[in-house]
Amino acid sequence: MKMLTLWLLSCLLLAAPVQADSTRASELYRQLRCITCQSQSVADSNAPLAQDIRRMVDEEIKHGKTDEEILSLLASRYGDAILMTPPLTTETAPLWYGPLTFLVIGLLLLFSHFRNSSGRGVS
Amino acid sequence: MRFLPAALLLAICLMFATALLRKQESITAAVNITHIEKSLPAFTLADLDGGSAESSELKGPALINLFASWCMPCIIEYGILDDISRTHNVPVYGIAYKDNAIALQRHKRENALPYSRILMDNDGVAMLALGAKAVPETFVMDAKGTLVLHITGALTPDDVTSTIAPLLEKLKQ
Repeated sequence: MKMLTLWLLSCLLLAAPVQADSTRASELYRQLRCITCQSQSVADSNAPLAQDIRRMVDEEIKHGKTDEEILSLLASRYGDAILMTPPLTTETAPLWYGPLTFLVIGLLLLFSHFRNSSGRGVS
Repeated sequence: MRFLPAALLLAICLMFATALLRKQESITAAVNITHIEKSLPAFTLADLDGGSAESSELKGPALINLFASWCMPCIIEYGILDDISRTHNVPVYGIAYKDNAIALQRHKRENALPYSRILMDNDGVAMLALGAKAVPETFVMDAKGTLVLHITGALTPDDVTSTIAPLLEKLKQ
Protein backbone atom coordinates (compact mmCIF):
# COMPACT_ATOMS: atom_id res chain seq x y z
CA MET A 1 0.00 0.00 0.00
CA LYS A 2 2.85 2.30 0.94
CA MET A 3 4.59 1.57 -2.33
CA LEU A 4 1.41 2.31 -4.29
CA THR A 5 0.96 5.63 -2.49
CA LEU A 6 4.57 6.57 -3.19
CA TRP A 7 4.21 5.60 -6.85
CA LEU A 8 1.01 7.65 -7.23
CA LEU A 9 2.61 10.62 -5.49
CA SER A 10 5.68 10.54 -7.73
CA CYS A 11 3.43 10.27 -10.83
CA LEU A 12 1.51 13.36 -9.67
CA LEU A 13 4.72 15.28 -8.96
CA LEU A 14 6.14 14.42 -12.36
CA ALA A 15 2.91 15.24 -14.18
CA ALA A 16 2.42 18.65 -12.54
CA PRO A 17 5.14 20.58 -14.46
CA VAL A 18 4.05 18.99 -17.76
CA GLN A 19 0.47 20.08 -17.09
CA ALA A 20 1.66 23.60 -16.19
CA ASP A 21 3.74 23.83 -19.38
CA SER A 22 0.81 22.62 -21.45
CA THR A 23 -1.51 25.25 -19.91
CA ARG A 24 1.11 27.96 -20.51
CA ALA A 25 1.56 26.85 -24.11
CA SER A 26 -2.22 26.86 -24.74
CA GLU A 27 -2.48 30.37 -23.32
CA LEU A 28 0.38 31.54 -25.56
CA TYR A 29 -1.23 29.95 -28.64
CA ARG A 30 -4.33 32.04 -27.90
CA GLN A 31 -2.25 35.23 -27.68
CA LEU A 32 -0.70 34.65 -31.13
CA ARG A 33 -2.40 35.41 -34.43
CA CYS A 34 -2.20 32.95 -37.32
CA ILE A 35 -0.67 35.27 -39.90
CA THR A 36 -1.66 33.17 -42.89
CA CYS A 37 -5.32 32.83 -41.83
CA GLN A 38 -8.24 35.20 -41.44
CA SER A 39 -9.04 36.19 -37.85
CA GLN A 40 -7.78 33.02 -36.22
CA SER A 41 -5.38 32.52 -33.38
CA VAL A 42 -2.54 30.01 -33.56
CA ALA A 43 -4.59 27.89 -31.13
CA ASP A 44 -7.55 27.69 -33.53
CA SER A 45 -5.67 27.23 -36.79
CA ASN A 46 -4.50 24.10 -38.55
CA ALA A 47 -2.41 26.04 -41.08
CA PRO A 48 1.11 24.59 -41.48
CA LEU A 49 2.71 27.80 -40.17
CA ALA A 50 0.44 27.80 -37.09
CA GLN A 51 1.51 24.20 -36.40
CA ASP A 52 5.14 25.29 -36.70
CA ILE A 53 4.56 28.19 -34.31
CA ARG A 54 2.92 25.85 -31.76
CA ARG A 55 5.93 23.55 -31.98
CA MET A 56 8.29 26.51 -31.57
CA VAL A 57 6.38 27.80 -28.52
CA ASP A 58 6.57 24.32 -26.92
CA GLU A 59 10.32 24.18 -27.51
CA GLU A 60 10.93 27.69 -26.17
CA ILE A 61 8.97 26.79 -23.01
CA LYS A 62 11.13 23.69 -22.61
CA HIS A 63 14.21 25.91 -22.96
CA GLY A 64 12.99 27.97 -20.01
CA LYS A 65 11.93 31.13 -21.87
CA THR A 66 9.34 33.37 -20.24
CA ASP A 67 6.02 34.21 -21.94
CA GLU A 68 7.24 37.75 -22.67
CA GLU A 69 10.44 36.45 -24.24
CA ILE A 70 8.54 34.06 -26.50
CA LEU A 71 6.03 36.72 -27.58
CA SER A 72 8.72 39.33 -28.23
CA LEU A 73 10.82 36.80 -30.17
CA LEU A 74 7.92 36.13 -32.54
CA ALA A 75 7.03 39.83 -32.73
CA SER A 76 10.63 40.63 -33.69
CA ARG A 77 10.31 38.26 -36.66
CA TYR A 78 6.73 38.92 -37.78
CA GLY A 79 5.99 42.32 -36.32
CA ASP A 80 3.29 43.22 -33.82
CA ALA A 81 0.69 41.84 -36.23
CA ILE A 82 1.38 38.37 -34.84
CA LEU A 83 0.08 39.43 -31.42
CA MET A 84 -3.68 39.11 -30.90
CA THR A 85 -3.43 42.20 -28.68
CA PRO A 86 -1.00 44.55 -30.40
CA PRO A 87 0.90 46.93 -28.11
CA LEU A 88 0.07 50.63 -28.06
CA THR A 89 2.49 52.38 -30.43
CA THR A 90 2.21 55.37 -32.77
CA GLU A 91 1.28 52.94 -35.57
CA THR A 92 -1.39 51.10 -33.60
CA ALA A 93 -2.76 54.18 -31.81
CA PRO A 94 -5.56 54.65 -34.42
CA LEU A 95 -6.70 51.07 -33.74
CA TRP A 96 -6.87 51.66 -29.99
CA TYR A 97 -8.26 55.18 -29.95
CA GLY A 98 -10.03 55.33 -33.34
CA PRO A 99 -13.36 53.78 -32.23
CA LEU A 100 -13.50 55.90 -29.05
CA THR A 101 -12.67 59.06 -31.01
CA PHE A 102 -15.38 58.33 -33.58
CA LEU A 103 -17.84 57.72 -30.72
CA VAL A 104 -16.93 61.07 -29.17
CA ILE A 105 -17.28 62.81 -32.56
CA GLY A 106 -20.68 61.15 -33.06
CA LEU A 107 -21.86 62.23 -29.61
CA LEU A 108 -20.61 65.79 -30.23
CA LEU A 109 -22.45 65.89 -33.57
CA LEU A 110 -25.63 64.59 -31.91
CA PHE A 111 -25.29 67.07 -29.05
CA SER A 112 -24.75 69.98 -31.45
CA HIS A 113 -27.69 68.82 -33.64
CA PHE A 114 -30.14 68.63 -30.70
CA ARG A 115 -28.91 71.92 -29.27
CA ASN A 116 -29.52 73.65 -32.62
CA SER A 117 -32.95 71.99 -32.95
CA SER A 118 -34.04 73.03 -29.44
CA GLY A 119 -32.69 76.55 -30.07
CA ARG A 120 -34.84 76.88 -33.20
CA GLY A 121 -37.84 75.44 -31.30
CA VAL A 122 -37.62 78.15 -28.60
CA SER A 123 -37.28 81.03 -31.07
CA MET B 1 -17.00 74.33 -30.56
CA ARG B 2 -18.97 74.43 -33.80
CA PHE B 3 -16.04 73.18 -35.90
CA LEU B 4 -14.66 70.78 -33.29
CA PRO B 5 -16.28 67.58 -34.68
CA ALA B 6 -15.12 68.39 -38.22
CA ALA B 7 -11.62 69.21 -36.95
CA LEU B 8 -11.47 65.94 -35.02
CA LEU B 9 -12.65 64.00 -38.07
CA LEU B 10 -9.99 65.68 -40.20
CA ALA B 11 -7.32 64.88 -37.60
CA ILE B 12 -8.34 61.20 -37.61
CA CYS B 13 -8.27 61.07 -41.42
CA LEU B 14 -4.79 62.62 -41.42
CA MET B 15 -3.63 60.09 -38.83
CA PHE B 16 -4.85 57.15 -40.97
CA ALA B 17 -3.37 58.65 -44.15
CA THR B 18 0.02 59.15 -42.47
CA ALA B 19 0.05 55.56 -41.17
CA LEU B 20 -0.90 54.16 -44.58
CA LEU B 21 1.66 56.23 -46.48
CA ARG B 22 4.44 55.34 -44.04
CA LYS B 23 3.80 51.64 -44.68
CA GLN B 24 3.94 52.14 -48.46
CA GLU B 25 7.46 53.58 -48.37
CA SER B 26 9.03 50.14 -48.06
CA ILE B 27 6.71 48.20 -50.38
CA THR B 28 7.03 48.35 -54.15
CA ALA B 29 6.14 46.42 -57.32
CA ALA B 30 3.78 43.50 -57.94
CA VAL B 31 5.14 41.26 -55.21
CA ASN B 32 5.93 42.70 -51.79
CA ILE B 33 9.52 43.82 -51.66
CA THR B 34 10.70 45.05 -48.29
CA HIS B 35 14.11 46.51 -47.56
CA ILE B 36 15.33 45.01 -44.29
CA GLU B 37 18.54 44.79 -42.33
CA LYS B 38 18.90 41.75 -40.12
CA SER B 39 21.51 39.07 -39.68
CA LEU B 40 20.88 35.65 -41.14
CA PRO B 41 19.51 33.73 -38.14
CA ALA B 42 21.18 30.56 -36.94
CA PHE B 43 19.47 27.31 -37.94
CA THR B 44 20.49 23.80 -38.88
CA LEU B 45 18.76 21.94 -41.68
CA ALA B 46 19.17 18.65 -43.51
CA ASP B 47 20.89 18.91 -46.87
CA LEU B 48 19.10 17.16 -49.74
CA ASP B 49 22.44 15.70 -50.84
CA GLY B 50 23.05 14.24 -47.39
CA GLY B 51 24.23 15.45 -44.02
CA SER B 52 23.20 18.70 -42.44
CA ALA B 53 24.03 22.36 -42.95
CA GLU B 54 24.34 25.34 -40.65
CA SER B 55 22.94 28.64 -41.89
CA SER B 56 26.42 30.12 -41.36
CA GLU B 57 27.59 27.97 -44.29
CA LEU B 58 25.45 30.05 -46.65
CA LYS B 59 27.76 32.74 -48.00
CA GLY B 60 26.66 36.01 -49.58
CA PRO B 61 26.10 37.88 -51.70
CA ALA B 62 23.44 35.32 -52.44
CA LEU B 63 19.74 34.70 -52.73
CA ILE B 64 17.89 32.47 -50.28
CA ASN B 65 14.69 31.15 -51.77
CA LEU B 66 12.00 29.37 -49.77
CA PHE B 67 10.20 26.96 -52.07
CA ALA B 68 8.46 23.59 -52.25
CA SER B 69 8.06 20.95 -54.92
CA TRP B 70 4.27 21.20 -54.41
CA CYS B 71 4.22 24.98 -54.95
CA MET B 72 3.22 26.10 -58.46
CA PRO B 73 4.35 29.77 -58.22
CA CYS B 74 7.77 28.47 -57.10
CA ILE B 75 8.12 26.48 -60.34
CA ILE B 76 7.29 29.61 -62.34
CA GLU B 77 10.12 31.59 -60.74
CA TYR B 78 12.85 28.95 -61.25
CA GLY B 79 13.76 30.49 -64.63
CA ILE B 80 13.99 34.00 -63.15
CA LEU B 81 16.16 32.80 -60.24
CA ASP B 82 18.41 30.94 -62.65
CA ASP B 83 18.80 34.10 -64.77
CA ILE B 84 19.73 36.14 -61.69
CA SER B 85 22.25 33.52 -60.61
CA ARG B 86 23.95 33.38 -64.03
CA THR B 87 23.83 37.10 -64.83
CA HIS B 88 25.10 38.30 -61.47
CA ASN B 89 27.18 35.25 -60.61
CA VAL B 90 25.57 34.73 -57.21
CA PRO B 91 24.44 31.45 -55.67
CA VAL B 92 20.78 30.77 -54.98
CA TYR B 93 20.23 28.64 -51.89
CA GLY B 94 16.95 26.77 -51.83
CA ILE B 95 15.13 26.01 -48.60
CA ALA B 96 12.39 23.46 -49.24
CA TYR B 97 9.44 23.95 -46.87
CA LYS B 98 7.30 20.97 -45.80
CA ASP B 99 8.68 18.70 -48.48
CA ASN B 100 10.28 15.28 -48.51
CA ALA B 101 13.54 14.02 -49.94
CA ILE B 102 11.97 11.58 -52.43
CA ALA B 103 9.58 14.17 -53.86
CA LEU B 104 12.39 16.72 -54.02
CA GLN B 105 14.80 14.40 -55.81
CA ARG B 106 12.09 13.62 -58.38
CA HIS B 107 11.31 17.32 -58.68
CA LYS B 108 15.03 18.01 -59.19
CA ARG B 109 15.19 15.46 -62.04
CA GLU B 110 12.08 16.87 -63.72
CA ASN B 111 12.92 20.57 -63.42
CA ALA B 112 15.98 22.72 -63.97
CA LEU B 113 16.32 23.89 -60.38
CA PRO B 114 18.36 27.08 -59.94
CA TYR B 115 19.79 26.14 -56.55
CA SER B 116 23.44 25.61 -55.72
CA ARG B 117 22.34 23.87 -52.53
CA ILE B 118 18.97 22.60 -51.29
CA LEU B 119 18.21 22.42 -47.58
CA MET B 120 15.08 20.82 -46.17
CA ASP B 121 12.89 22.64 -43.66
CA ASN B 122 10.22 20.11 -42.77
CA ASP B 123 9.43 21.61 -39.36
CA GLY B 124 9.45 25.26 -40.45
CA VAL B 125 12.55 26.02 -38.37
CA ALA B 126 14.13 28.27 -41.01
CA MET B 127 10.74 29.62 -42.04
CA LEU B 128 10.09 30.91 -38.51
CA ALA B 129 13.68 32.03 -37.94
CA LEU B 130 13.57 34.10 -41.13
CA GLY B 131 10.11 35.51 -40.38
CA ALA B 132 8.70 34.10 -43.60
CA LYS B 133 5.02 33.27 -43.99
CA ALA B 134 4.65 31.11 -47.07
CA VAL B 135 6.35 29.92 -50.24
CA PRO B 136 7.74 31.35 -52.42
CA GLU B 137 9.69 33.94 -50.48
CA THR B 138 13.16 35.19 -51.30
CA PHE B 139 15.83 36.98 -49.31
CA VAL B 140 18.86 38.80 -50.66
CA MET B 141 21.90 38.43 -48.40
CA ASP B 142 25.05 40.55 -48.56
CA ALA B 143 28.65 39.38 -48.10
CA LYS B 144 28.50 40.02 -44.34
CA GLY B 145 25.54 37.66 -43.93
CA THR B 146 23.00 40.44 -43.51
CA LEU B 147 19.59 39.98 -45.09
CA VAL B 148 18.88 43.19 -46.99
CA LEU B 149 15.79 42.42 -49.04
CA HIS B 150 12.70 40.31 -48.35
CA ILE B 151 10.49 39.41 -51.28
CA THR B 152 7.16 37.70 -50.67
CA GLY B 153 5.43 36.01 -53.58
CA ALA B 154 6.75 34.90 -56.94
CA LEU B 155 9.35 37.13 -58.55
CA THR B 156 8.58 38.89 -61.80
CA PRO B 157 11.12 40.07 -64.42
CA ASP B 158 10.12 43.65 -63.53
CA ASP B 159 11.09 43.09 -59.88
CA VAL B 160 14.48 41.84 -61.01
CA THR B 161 15.11 44.82 -63.30
CA SER B 162 13.83 47.46 -60.91
CA THR B 163 15.11 46.23 -57.54
CA ILE B 164 17.05 42.99 -57.36
CA ALA B 165 19.60 43.49 -60.18
CA PRO B 166 20.68 47.00 -59.07
CA LEU B 167 20.93 45.80 -55.47
CA LEU B 168 23.07 42.78 -56.36
CA GLU B 169 25.42 44.97 -58.42
CA LYS B 170 25.73 47.33 -55.48
CA LEU B 171 26.44 44.44 -53.09
CA LYS B 172 29.18 43.10 -55.33
CA GLN B 173 31.06 46.42 -55.40
